[in-house]
Amino acid sequence: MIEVRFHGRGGQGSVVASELLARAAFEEGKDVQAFPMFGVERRGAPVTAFTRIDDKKVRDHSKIHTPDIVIVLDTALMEAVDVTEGLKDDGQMVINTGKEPSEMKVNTNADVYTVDASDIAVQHGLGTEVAPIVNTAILGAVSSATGMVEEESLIDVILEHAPAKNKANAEAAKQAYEELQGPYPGEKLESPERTLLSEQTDIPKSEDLLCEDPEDHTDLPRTPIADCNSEYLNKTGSWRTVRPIVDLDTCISCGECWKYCPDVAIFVEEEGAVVDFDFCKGCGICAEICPVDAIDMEKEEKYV
Amino acid sequence: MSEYKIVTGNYSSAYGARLARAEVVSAYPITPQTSVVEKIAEFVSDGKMDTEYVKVESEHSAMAGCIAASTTGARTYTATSAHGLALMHEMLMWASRARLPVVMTNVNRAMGPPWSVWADHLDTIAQKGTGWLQFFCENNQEVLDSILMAYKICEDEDIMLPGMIVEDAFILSHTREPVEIYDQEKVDEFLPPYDPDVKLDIENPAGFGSLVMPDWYMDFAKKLEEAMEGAKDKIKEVNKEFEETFGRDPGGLIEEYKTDGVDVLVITMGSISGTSKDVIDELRDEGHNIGLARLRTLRPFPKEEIRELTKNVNVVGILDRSYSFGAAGDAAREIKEALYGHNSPVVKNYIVGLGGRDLTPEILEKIFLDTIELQDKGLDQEVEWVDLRSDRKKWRR
Repeated sequence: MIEVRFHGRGGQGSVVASELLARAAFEEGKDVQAFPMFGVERRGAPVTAFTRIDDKKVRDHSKIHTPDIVIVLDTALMEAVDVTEGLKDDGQMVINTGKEPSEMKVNTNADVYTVDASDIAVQHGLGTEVAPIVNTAILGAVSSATGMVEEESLIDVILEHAPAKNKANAEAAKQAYEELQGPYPGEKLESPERTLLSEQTDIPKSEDLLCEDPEDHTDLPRTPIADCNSEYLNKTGSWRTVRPIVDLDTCISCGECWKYCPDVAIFVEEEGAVVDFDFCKGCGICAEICPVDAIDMEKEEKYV
Repeated sequence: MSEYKIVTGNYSSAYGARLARAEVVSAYPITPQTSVVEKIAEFVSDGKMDTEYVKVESEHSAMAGCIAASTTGARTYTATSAHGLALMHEMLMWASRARLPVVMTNVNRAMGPPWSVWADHLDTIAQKGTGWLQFFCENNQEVLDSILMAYKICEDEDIMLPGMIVEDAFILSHTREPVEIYDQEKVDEFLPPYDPDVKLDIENPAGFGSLVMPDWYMDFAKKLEEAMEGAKDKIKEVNKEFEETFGRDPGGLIEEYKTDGVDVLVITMGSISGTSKDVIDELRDEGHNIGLARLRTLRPFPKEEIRELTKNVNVVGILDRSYSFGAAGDAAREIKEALYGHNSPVVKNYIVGLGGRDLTPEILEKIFLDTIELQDKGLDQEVEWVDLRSDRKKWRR
């Protein structure tokens, strides 16, 4: 049995990717299962999806805790979640990035591969530079890296089942198949130097709201009573893939961006518009609405 | 031509309703059921399903709509989950007592608070006395198969009762698996149109659901129970016919997995059964004489089959994904009741996976090993809650 985990954000197509991969394996005569993380999905929020592939009937309906393969659609996520969690030492990891595999400081013993799926997607008109739809391109790279599905079956499935732009999606997968880089042998660190954003900030684990000792439930309240401030504690800035950069020389402090920001994450200070990156999700409305074009959306990757 | 599609449990439900040619669908959306009714709405708007799709303002009305339509002789379908099913409670009893073969999918979900949208059987089990047949499914294929079977069983003139197909929230409802979508003509042969002997007909007006005096009411209740009892043989018969037609055995009343001559038997329901079977295979390879029975219908309850299965076993471990407060898990309670005066194996009840808590092969193995150990150590406790936060060391490696 091969177990695969996808890390992406709502809207990037990780769930569709998990399904297309399952379908391609099914066409090759395997039994399959594909499922999203069982939660409440929102555009921009971290999304996890899974695929199981086996030669015999897949009967296991538990979650996947120790994947053989991890696929990362968005490197900015690696600041927010531990994408290496449970990944087997002899496993493989495929990351969407313009960087070389050796440049990726991933805390795993698995083989690391990279491909610039975002760039490939944009070349084929899939999404925009700010929000490329990378799921089919990354699958091409996954096929090339792992061989768990043949390129041909993958292309057939994309042509038949991709939700839109089937030809462009198939071409993107083919190009990514060719442009894959790696493997680079990963090395697990004794003590990783980087800490995750989720560990840096005081985002509460839900159990922290309920009792002192999350391992022991003796002090659980009768019924859950949540902190009213959870919206301040949950730093949704970690969802961002692009960030607004304000040119203060151009900004006229009109306050339009503040009016339109759905998260009240941009303010007009003395010097001009200032972004609160703890909460800015990078939706880009401020850049759209700015009457003097003082705001540019730039890739988050450049800043982390 | 039949074809394999890779679909969620919810889409499997929608395809089931479509293949069964449900004539009226009256439904209200609720997580995690929503994609069942979304898919049906899509089928209807695309002209792929000839159905009167009735949008209503609540689950209570959704069932009222099904009851009204079913009374006129239409084949009806709806789907709901958890709080929606609870809101339907009154109408569920009306449907069964009016002897209407409404079929619905209930996506098993925990009742809040704490607010939860994940798998838990309490919503369904709380309705076990309402007079509905209840089919608990292990996988998405079985969801579709059970819908087709349920119409055939429920619409039989000797049965005429409503039926509930039960799929676990997210674990089936949002998980894609290959499902064979049968050829429509073949389904039509298996499941002819619904044509009841009595129906609401403006040409021949009649009153339905009228008052009866105390010296009659009880006799109607007994007739319902006779139909429920009769449903046991009907389920077995239709299961056989289904297997002959489609080449697949959905599991009848209770599915037996490697139960021949076992000393230890575990009993499961729903989607944990597949994971459990993998674990049973491993334990048997290690030399343990253990088998599994999957309780597929909680209603009607297969008493006789349970007695037969437990005749020569030493211990029985029963896994309940719900809890009846103040007592124990319901499957365990009913199984023990069936055993009374017949067989007396050691019986232990494990409470597992409430509110969607994951049941890994590792935890299931620990449970089954605990059951095996009961042979030597005797019963330590009648009911044990598995993998509580304070107790994880016992259940995890």
